Amino acid sequence: MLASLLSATLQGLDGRPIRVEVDVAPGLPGFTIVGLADTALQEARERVRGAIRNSGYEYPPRRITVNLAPADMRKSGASLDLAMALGILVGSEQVRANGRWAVLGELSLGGELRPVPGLLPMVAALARRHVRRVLVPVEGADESRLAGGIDVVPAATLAEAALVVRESSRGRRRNRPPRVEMAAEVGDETEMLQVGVAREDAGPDLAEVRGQLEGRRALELALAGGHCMVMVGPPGSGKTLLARTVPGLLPPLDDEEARVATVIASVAGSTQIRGLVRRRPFRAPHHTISYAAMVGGGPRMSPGEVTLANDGVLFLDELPEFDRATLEALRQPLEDGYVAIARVGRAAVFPSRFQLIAAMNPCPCGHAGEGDGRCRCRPSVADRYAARISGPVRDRIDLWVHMPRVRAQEYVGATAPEGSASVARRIAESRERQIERGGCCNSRLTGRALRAACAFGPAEQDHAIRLAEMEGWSARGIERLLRVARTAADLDGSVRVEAAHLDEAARFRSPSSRRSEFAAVV
Amino acid sequence: MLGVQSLGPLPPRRIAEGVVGETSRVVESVRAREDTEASSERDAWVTLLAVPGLGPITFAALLAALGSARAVLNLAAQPAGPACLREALAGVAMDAPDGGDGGAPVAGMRGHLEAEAGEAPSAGIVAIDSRARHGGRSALGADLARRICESVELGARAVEQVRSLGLTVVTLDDPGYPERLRRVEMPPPLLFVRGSIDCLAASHSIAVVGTRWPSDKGRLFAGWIGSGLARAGAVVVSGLAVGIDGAAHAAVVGEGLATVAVLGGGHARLFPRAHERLADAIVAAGGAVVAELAPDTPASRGTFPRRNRLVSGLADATVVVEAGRRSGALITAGWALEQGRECFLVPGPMDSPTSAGCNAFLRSFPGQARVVCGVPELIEDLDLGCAEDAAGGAGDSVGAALAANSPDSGGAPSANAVGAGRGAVLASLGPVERTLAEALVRGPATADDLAARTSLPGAAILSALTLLELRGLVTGSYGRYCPAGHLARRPEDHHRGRT
Repeated sequence: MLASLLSATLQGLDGRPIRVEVDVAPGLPGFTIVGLADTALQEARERVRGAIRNSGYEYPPRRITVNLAPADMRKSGASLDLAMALGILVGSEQVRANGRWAVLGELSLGGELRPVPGLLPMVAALARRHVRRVLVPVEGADESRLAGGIDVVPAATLAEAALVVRESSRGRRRNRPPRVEMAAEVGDETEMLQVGVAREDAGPDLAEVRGQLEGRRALELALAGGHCMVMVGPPGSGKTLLARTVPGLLPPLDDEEARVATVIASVAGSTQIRGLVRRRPFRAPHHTISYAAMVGGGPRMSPGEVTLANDGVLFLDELPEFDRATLEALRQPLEDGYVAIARVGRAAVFPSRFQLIAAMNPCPCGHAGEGDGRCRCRPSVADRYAARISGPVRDRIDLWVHMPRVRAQEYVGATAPEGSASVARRIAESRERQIERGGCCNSRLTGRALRAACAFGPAEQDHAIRLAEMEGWSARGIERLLRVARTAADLDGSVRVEAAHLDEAARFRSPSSRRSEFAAVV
Repeated sequence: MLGVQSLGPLPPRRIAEGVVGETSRVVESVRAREDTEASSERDAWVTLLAVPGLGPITFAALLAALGSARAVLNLAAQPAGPACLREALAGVAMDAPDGGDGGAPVAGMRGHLEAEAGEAPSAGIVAIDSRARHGGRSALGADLARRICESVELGARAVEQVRSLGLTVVTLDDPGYPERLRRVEMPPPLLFVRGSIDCLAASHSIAVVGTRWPSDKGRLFAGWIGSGLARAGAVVVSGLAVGIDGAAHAAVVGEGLATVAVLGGGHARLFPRAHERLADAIVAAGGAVVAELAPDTPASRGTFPRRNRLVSGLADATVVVEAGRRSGALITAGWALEQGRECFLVPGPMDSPTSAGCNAFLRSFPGQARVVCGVPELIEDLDLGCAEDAAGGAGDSVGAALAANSPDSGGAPSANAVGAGRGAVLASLGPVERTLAEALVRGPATADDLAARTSLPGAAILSALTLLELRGLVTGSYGRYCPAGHLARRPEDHHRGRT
């Protein structure tokens, strides 16, 4: 007998509805899956067989053919396990079912249902196909309900799933799960939960960072305006510590951003999702990261770090140690806010609007500029080290800050530095001002909007030109100066960009190899 | 000034008031005795010395053998050039010390060779002789001979390049050739000079050199010593390298006084590139940038020790500010002693890696190497006279010319003008900047140090630092800020403070 169920797989960040047709026919016992299934899917045969046997059903000793439609699409993942198992049970007439059911979930050999990555987009895709009810693993129920517009019925095991399907087919509404809330309603309840989570991995408080006035100020500017930032300093100067305070300083995501972030978190599948993800992501991959892990791709077209850091911060410690190709691959996402990945027969576009924060040593030994003669790197070696970050990537970085070694008296000094709470408040307020004025944060303003936003008087205009001339800046350099100055003014609550804001922004200009002790003379 | 010829006009931006006057005088005097012979002979020198691998020794031997550089080139232009050249050199080098008949342009060179050979068995000449005699073969390698012949065709290029760069060529025969350098062993036959030739022949000339990786203190000391010596009336000679050399040059240029930079390579391949602007400013301030090698020669490992002998050779005394154990500055100091010049070193703590070389040198040469224990003391030891008097003379006129000539590129001219003291500069600043400047005078600082010293808010410190930097009063790298320009402590103040 032929059974036909609806399920879904993941392609990129989108769910794709898949019709699973199971034919249980007389003939030599066997189990064939057709329809461009990948290895994980082929292995479903063993999981399905075990799950059926261990759930108290009989695995039919007949010729089983599973067809996955559409046939020309490559399918991967274990999300179709439950559909195949139920299809076999229906096809062998052990379970009677009909109605427009969609089922999603991976099976264990014991018959338990396991959540799969990307439940949320898959359920959302089914909802768009006007499927009324979807059966999902219990752990994925909260996540699936975020999609909205579809009844989500949780099940813990294959047997329970079979029961749910059978009951509904008989029209007996016993145990019918309550109609679930829509996404927006779930949001509030779970946000409280998220705060709890946020507190525990918000990283160290900013008050832990001793000294580093310049670094702290640069970080505040960067987070307020969404600017990319690079910290340069000797080992142990607190670059990494400062970066780790970022999660506690970032304002929460707005509704639209949260929706995208939740889908990405769902596809990444690393944590259980209980509600809309409101925390800005903070990703800190190690410098040995591969190209595909950074931009996405791989056999299953998984999102990379740039996508996982979407609308949040990508922190790259020891920037010059990253693979050159990996760093170059950051160019498109930095420029366009998305990354388009194409493989033979498949393509995916992932959002990747992240803010880059990086740390590096000034030279291979790390001690250049400490003024105590400890660094023995030749000047050309330090230049070459810095040159590992290519011009195009360098161009996207608005803030460069040098972080000198912290002195002992600063470390043990009595004055407590400002904590995260007040800085976070300033950052949030400044962002609000930016959104109100331009609809986006300063780092994403177009050149024209930026100039308009600066609202320069003639005096400030002259001052900006003088600052630009001082180091022979390019047009791009001047734009960076204005951007950062605009953010400094926003932190100040100033409508116009004043000369002092420009001066402050100029402190964080890109270090040029042409500078020398002579810069001060002419 | 006879015999010194300027090959083409200086580019307009490099012409400062003083240089214009000097250049036009030279051009006039040259026009007065327009001598195509001498000019083409000079071109021939340039052509020959641009041949890679052809050094002073072979050059001297070739001149001795054939009478003039033009004769060498003529011979090289013949079909069997290389062989002819080798043969000629083998033949004449043997009886070089006896002398042949020298053409007029070579007379000085010839005379010099003879004088040196006669006075003492000096290394250069002996080397030629022994190689030619005892080896029983030509002193000229086959490769080199071939390269010389090839250069005849390319000859015009080197000459053209000299002309287009606006360089002045000074040959060993010219009366304008620096007398100090003429006295060293194996002086360079040619000097390519950008800027004023007069400052090479200044009555007092002191080399200030040191490591390329100085400490903050070393950088500061280099500035003090450079500006102190310059104001005391000496021309400061150094190597244009990053670190101590650059700091010394920059301090002198900041005073608007003359300094001489000796390049390790050629003018067209200025090294380090980071100091291109410094080189321009040196020329604009009435100083000179000098190279021994043809403009196209890249600086390399081997050219720097060779350059160092010029640095010490152009100076009456050499001051090493900071030097690591294996610093090239110690080579310069060694050359100074060898050339019979004085040698001063700034001692440092015994655990300081940047002073280890100085300390070791002082230990190795007791009685020869001398200690710098303060800038006034150094000036006294060097017999330079009173600092303030000297600064009042030439310095002001050049400085005024510089100030008048340099476009106002954002910096307040009053801050850079010579004569305006630190007090005047401080008075011209706004209250926040003044507070910050006063805090910076207490020594190099990070932004945190400044916050601790001034209790100004962070954002205010950062903007004020930019303003001070715009005015040339602060210089910073890697998050540490040092006072510069008029904020950098004057050696006199330092001295007074202690006593």
